[in-house]
Amino acid sequence: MTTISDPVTQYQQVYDQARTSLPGKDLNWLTKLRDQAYESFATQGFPHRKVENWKYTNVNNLGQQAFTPAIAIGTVNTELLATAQIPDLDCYQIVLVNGLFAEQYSQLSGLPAGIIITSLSNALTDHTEIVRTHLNKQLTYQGQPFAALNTMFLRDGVFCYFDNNSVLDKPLHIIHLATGDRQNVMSFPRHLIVAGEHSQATLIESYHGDKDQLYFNDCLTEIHLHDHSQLTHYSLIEASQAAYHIAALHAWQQQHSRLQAYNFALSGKLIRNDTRAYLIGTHTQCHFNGFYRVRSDQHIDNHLLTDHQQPHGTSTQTYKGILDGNGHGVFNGTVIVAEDAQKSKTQQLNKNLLLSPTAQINTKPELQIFADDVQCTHGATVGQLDDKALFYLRSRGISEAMARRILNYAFMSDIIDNVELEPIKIKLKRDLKGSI
Amino acid sequence: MSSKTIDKIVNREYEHGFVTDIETDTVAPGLSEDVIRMISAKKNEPEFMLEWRLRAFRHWLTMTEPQWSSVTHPPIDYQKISYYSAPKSDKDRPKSLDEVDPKLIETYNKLGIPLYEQQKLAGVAVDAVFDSVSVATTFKEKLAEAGVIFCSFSEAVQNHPELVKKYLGSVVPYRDNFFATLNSAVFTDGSFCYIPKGVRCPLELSTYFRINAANTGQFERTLIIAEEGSYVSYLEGCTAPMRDENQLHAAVVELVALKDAEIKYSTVQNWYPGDEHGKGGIYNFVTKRGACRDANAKISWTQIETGSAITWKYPSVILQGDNSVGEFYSVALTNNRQQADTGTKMIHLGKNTRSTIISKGISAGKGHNAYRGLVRVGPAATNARNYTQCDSLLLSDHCSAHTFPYIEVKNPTAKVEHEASTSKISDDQLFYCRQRGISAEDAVSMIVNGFCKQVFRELPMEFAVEAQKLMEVSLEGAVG
Amino acid sequence: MLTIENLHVTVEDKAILRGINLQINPGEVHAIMGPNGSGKSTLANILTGRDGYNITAGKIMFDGKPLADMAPEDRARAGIFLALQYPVEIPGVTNIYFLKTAVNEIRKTQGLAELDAMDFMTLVKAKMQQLKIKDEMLYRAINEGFSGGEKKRNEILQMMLLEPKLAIMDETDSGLDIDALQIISEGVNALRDSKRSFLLITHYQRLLNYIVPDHVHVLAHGKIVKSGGRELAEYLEKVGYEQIEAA
Repeated sequence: MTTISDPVTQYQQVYDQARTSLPGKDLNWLTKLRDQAYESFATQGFPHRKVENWKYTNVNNLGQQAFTPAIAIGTVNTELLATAQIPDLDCYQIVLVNGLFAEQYSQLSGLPAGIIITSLSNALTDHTEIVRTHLNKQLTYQGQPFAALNTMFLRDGVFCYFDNNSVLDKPLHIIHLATGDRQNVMSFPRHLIVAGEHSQATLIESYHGDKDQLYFNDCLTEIHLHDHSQLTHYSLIEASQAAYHIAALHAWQQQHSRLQAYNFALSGKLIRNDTRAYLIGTHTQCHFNGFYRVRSDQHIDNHLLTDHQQPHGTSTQTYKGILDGNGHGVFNGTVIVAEDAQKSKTQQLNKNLLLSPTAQINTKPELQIFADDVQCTHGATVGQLDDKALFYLRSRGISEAMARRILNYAFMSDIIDNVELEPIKIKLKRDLKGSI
Repeated sequence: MSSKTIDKIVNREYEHGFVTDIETDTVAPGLSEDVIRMISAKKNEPEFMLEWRLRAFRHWLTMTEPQWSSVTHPPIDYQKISYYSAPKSDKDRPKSLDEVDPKLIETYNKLGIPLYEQQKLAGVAVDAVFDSVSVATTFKEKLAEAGVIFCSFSEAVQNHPELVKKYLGSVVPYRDNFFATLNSAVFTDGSFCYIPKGVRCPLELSTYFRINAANTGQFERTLIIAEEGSYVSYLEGCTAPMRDENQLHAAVVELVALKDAEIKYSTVQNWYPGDEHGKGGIYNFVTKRGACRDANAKISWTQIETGSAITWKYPSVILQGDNSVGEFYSVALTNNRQQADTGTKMIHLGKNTRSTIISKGISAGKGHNAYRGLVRVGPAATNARNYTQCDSLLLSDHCSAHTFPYIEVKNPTAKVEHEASTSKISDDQLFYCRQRGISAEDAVSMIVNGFCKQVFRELPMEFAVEAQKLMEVSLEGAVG
Repeated sequence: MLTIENLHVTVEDKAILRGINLQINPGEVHAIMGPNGSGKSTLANILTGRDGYNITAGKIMFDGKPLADMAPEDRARAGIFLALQYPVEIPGVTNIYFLKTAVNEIRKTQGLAELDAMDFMTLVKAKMQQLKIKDEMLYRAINEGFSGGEKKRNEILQMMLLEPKLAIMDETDSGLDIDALQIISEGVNALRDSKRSFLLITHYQRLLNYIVPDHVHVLAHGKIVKSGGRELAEYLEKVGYEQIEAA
């Protein structure tokens, strides 16, 4: 492992080498986007803990390591692919290996009319106009250097376009495999989702890596929800124990649109999720649900932002975490209600269960309210299992270990029960049963 | 209808905006080592005090003003502030109240703190700080009988240097933060209070602060030490005249509670908030911190913040001793262009430490109100408990209410709960009151009062009355 | 005492009351009955001056004075009381404080001296016993955590303390069990005299078994479609609103 002194220079060098081979290099607008991102990344630098957004998450280690961008799929670990698939889930499937489209493993036949699902690299040539008008449309890099980095290195990902009134009849499962012949690969999957008026769809993004493989994912999902559209989005993170997984989901919601997003952060060395929704139309609904299971030396950081810019929006942020080992959890949820966003209703809740003496949690549920006719509540708790409940179970003959498991499970069950897709619910229950 | 009513209520004029015409001894604006030497010399301080001030000043020169809070203000020119202003009569300090300049007494009367009356009737010992020096301390004898030392900081430096030396900076070190460091260098006076072992202070101690002179900063410093098993309740009130320019108030308060001791510290802050366009007003940048040094100590902060153009303060408790308790009860009202960024820090270090935070923010006009709090549970703080509740009440559609609660937990036996809500006075509530014959104005007062009740009831009676006046609401409990 | 002439009222530009005529004389008990959405609650709200209700035609006279421009509190002080269908909660403000403030506000307008704490307590305790309200309810925040029945009893307690000229009771019987209904009715009946008038707004005639009205009016689509004596309520119970509306 080579160590480097200045991560920014390092990434700039890699970028300078890679830029001529990046897809869409003939598209002026794309080159311009990349250059702007490059500039922003260079100005902001690699995040450090003096930046409020990164106060509790130290990415020095990440910055100190050299990664090379994936440019070819390489060998696909079919075993890993098999575990990534969700049993009994009838779905369309796209497989990305190190962020690159693996066509032979993808199943997209039978898509309903009006729906386009393809790789972003294909879309750059086949659907240039839609991509151009939506990609990076309102994205800000300020405070988000990894979003800038993703745009610089943008190579592939998934492009979904749901025409007005279209309904995706089955969920789309986007499987990300970090697998390959080399260590220290970095990948920059970029997904662009455009949901037309009155369209409906369900997407699942899942991330998987070989047990100890070291890699760096810098993912960005951009979602544009037009009037009355509905999208359910799942993110399942099962990265390798050595992996750095930094992911952002940014959604812009037009009037009467509805976004339901779930995030399950289950494994990885360092996970950072930036989940943001900008409610730019009236009467929008936005629900963020999440669960994080932090173990051993893991670090999981969830940053949420729900930005009510227009009236009559309804939003929730409900995140729960169970932490043990030397695990470190971070929750930073922000709800902004702008002056114009009267009649907004927001609820924010973060609950944490600390199971070991060396686990730690930093939570900051933040409200910024500029309107008066609103209903906003938030809450956060840090605690442990209720002794009385534990005793009650044991008094009924249940072993302590089992009683703890039952209560741990009960702690997070509402988030899991809330999951609409039965096969995902079953998978999560099965996976989590072993770990709690 | 409702918004008009609310406007009328919150837009009452500042009542304490008079200037007292008194001859003062004020040094020219500017800050340098010479000024600090001069302050120290004027106060006839021992060498250790001067050394400490100079260390602070030298450190301050290396610091920059903090930028992290949510408030905004034009840059402060620290060379334009006068760092010392005292009523002339300081040369021959009054021996008793009779000798105090009648105009000063009148000032306090206007503020509703008749010293005589308090002395005779209310039984409150008052240390009144006028600009930078302490002018009169009442009830000294009665306190002395109990062994309580309650005097101006300057007197303490002269008469109890060993205590000052031991505790000064022990809770808020001179390097702590930009404004605390500035205070350490230039502070001119303040209150000092020492409660000996096992003594329950027979009176509630009280200090009134007033900024009178123009272009002055007020940098007072308060130090309260509660020895083992002692108890004290301390009240602090603040006002300032109306002036077009902003004035800086950068105070430091240090509390030390030893084993089984309890300190209750209450503040009603009504510094001049500036006019409705945001002109003038006090910048209230204050560092308040208490340390529960030993087992079973308790420190409780209660604050009613209605004044100042900008309030920036976080009365905090360091819970070192096992079973120690920290409390923070706050009402912050911002109106017009007022900004408040306030909250608390509860640092749990000892076992079984408990803290409670109740924060009520009321924003009106274009007021900006932020709660910023930290609850930290260290690895050794087994069974630490915190309960936080912060509620915001919004009275106009141009104001804002922000909540920034930081929770850091490194111990699995900790229980930390944070709850918050944001709401307005509903039309239904207003109508209900009015249907019963209560005017809209009174209804708003009543509802705001109800909103603040959890905090008001923590105030000692003497202050409850003032808080009531300030909030234009009558306190409950008068009946039944 | 109360005269309503050709009253038209809109809410958010929607016509709710379309020409109401009603005369209530001192000492009379009137019941307004009608199906959901007929405009019953709108009538109560327009009489008490709630925001959001606009008079587009007609007039309301109370004691010879027009009501339309009076603030809600002035109407209350003039003697109009509304027992709300959904009494609102006000956190932190104790019930007793609220009651005392209200009583003294009204006494002030009547040129009476304000009651001090002792006198007020004596007065309120007597009324509470009558309504079987527990003492502790006085010290709880207004309606906060009260059960449905407690809220309604609290409304009647306020009515008994404020002694209005005209008491409007908006669906006071809804959500009450028989015992509570009986207690409340006794309280109301005790207030009946030759000067005080009542306007009972209700969906069911059940309440009218306990508080017997002098006049019954049926409200449908914003108009009084039928008036009569107490027998009208019984008839209504038998045939239902549809019959009357159709007629």
